[in-house]
Amino acid sequence: MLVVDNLVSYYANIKILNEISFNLNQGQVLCLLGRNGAGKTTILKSIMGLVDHTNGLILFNDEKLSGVSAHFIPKKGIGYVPQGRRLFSELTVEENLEIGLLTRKKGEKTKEKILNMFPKLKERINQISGTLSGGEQQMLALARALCIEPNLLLLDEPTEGLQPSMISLIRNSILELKKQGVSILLVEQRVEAILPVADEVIIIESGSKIFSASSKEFKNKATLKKIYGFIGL
Amino acid sequence: MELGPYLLFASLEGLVHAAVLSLIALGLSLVFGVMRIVNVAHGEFFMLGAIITWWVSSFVSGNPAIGFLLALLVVPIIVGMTAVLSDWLILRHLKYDPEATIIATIGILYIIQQFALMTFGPDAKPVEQPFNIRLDLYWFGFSAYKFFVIFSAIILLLAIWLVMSKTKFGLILRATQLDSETAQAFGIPISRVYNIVFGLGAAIAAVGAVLIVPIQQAHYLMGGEPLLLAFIVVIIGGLGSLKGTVAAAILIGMSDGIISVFFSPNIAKILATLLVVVVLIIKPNGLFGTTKT
Ligand SMILES: Nc1ncnc2c1ncn2[C@@H]1O[C@H](COP(=O)(O)OP(=O)(O)OP(=O)(O)O)[C@@H](O)[C@H]1O
Ligand SMILES: [Mg+2]
Repeated sequence: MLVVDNLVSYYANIKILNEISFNLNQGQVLCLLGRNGAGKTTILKSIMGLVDHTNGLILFNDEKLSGVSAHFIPKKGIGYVPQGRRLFSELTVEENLEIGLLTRKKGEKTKEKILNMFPKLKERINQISGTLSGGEQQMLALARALCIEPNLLLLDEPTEGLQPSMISLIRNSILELKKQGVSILLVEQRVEAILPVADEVIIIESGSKIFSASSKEFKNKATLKKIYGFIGL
Repeated sequence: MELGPYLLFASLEGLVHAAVLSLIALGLSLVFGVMRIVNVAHGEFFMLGAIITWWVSSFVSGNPAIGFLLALLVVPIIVGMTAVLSDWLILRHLKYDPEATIIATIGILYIIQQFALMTFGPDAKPVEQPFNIRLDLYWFGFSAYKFFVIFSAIILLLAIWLVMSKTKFGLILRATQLDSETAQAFGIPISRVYNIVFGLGAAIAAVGAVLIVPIQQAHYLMGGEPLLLAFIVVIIGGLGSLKGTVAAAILIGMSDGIISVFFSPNIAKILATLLVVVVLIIKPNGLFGTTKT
């Protein structure tokens, strides 16, 4: 459903990504690993149309995304949880969700469903989102993206700065979404936390794809070692 | 007149100033807050509003109230469209780069000013008040129209506040102001938002112009002083803060009015500028500004 073919991205004429290619099928979880500054976030932003300039092809359900204005991308059913959450910090929990619902004509049902998924947020519906705890903020970032009712979800380091119980909560949400047929492109640093849910792993180094392995392969100890070697853990 | 009534008179004059100033400053603040650009041409949109009001009122004969109401209706639209056009023709091509847009809006300032000089001429021209009633306030008489100016500004400010805080449109503006990149990722077309906001900012200043011109006369150089005062207000109030802008406009407008009545307008300007320095030293983000990185 998502095809990335020879993606090259630039920020102000500086080449950040080198001919990245991968496919993501429906209901699959693809995990991007790599050091700080490798270009993982840039891959997600390129899909969202938020990078200055890209070459190559991005297809989503056979529709071309490359060259499409950024604000059309979510309308195609792609939800985005940015790195560092990027909540609208002075808006309330509810207002953040309203922004997530903008692309939908009738959002009331979706909103109700999402709030039932995250009872903690329901309790704090009128709280200014910037005053939520880190874990609650991450939940809200996920909930806001789910308001789009996405077929494809882009998650950029959703476990950053969270304690183990929160990480397992995020992991369970990913598994639940996967069951519903949502495809997920996941950027992670904590290999051990998220590998169990991934179907495929790609390692990015200095803007290039240097290694990829399927789920069966990475359960193999030798491959796992190799992965740890690549990302320097 | 004794000191008490004289102070009351000066305060009322100050309130009229403050009312119009808060509209001008609010337009400037809205544009700065959402688009992150400094619109140096803002005062010229105000001036354009004033001279178009003169045109409209001189075309309409008979009761001056008819020309005034017509101006109140069409002037903000014409000025707003002019701003929308200048954004569409110029600013959006500069990708709203903070420095480039300052230079560009200086250019827009001169284009509008010279256009006004060529068409409207160098002289100040008066516009008749829509109604000429003097209210007897026991110690002195005060123009009912001036009360109307204060009242209209309050109504418009309330309306803007309602739109910003209670409507989907306001929510979209606030989200764009807080994080334009993430706003796009949720389907907000920010270039269209910017286009509308630039027009809206100019239109709000134009309403101020329509209101003030029956008191102050229209002139092609009248945009300079309100721009300076609006900058002072926006800096003191905290960049992009609605509440702060209105509070600071009342502070600056009132003190400007009162000091001008008791001493001189120049001393009022000196004190206002000094106040900016003091505020910037004590609270660099303005009185109501939030710390943002
Ligand atoms: N807006 C930008 N302008 C210029 N360069 C940028 C911009 N954003 C990112 N870069 C550069 O692109 C490279 C890749 O950054 P990216 O954010 O994609 O890395 P990452 O793999 O997500 O790293 P991390 O794990 O630290 O989040 C870095 O060298 C970064 O400095
Ligand atoms: Mg990153």
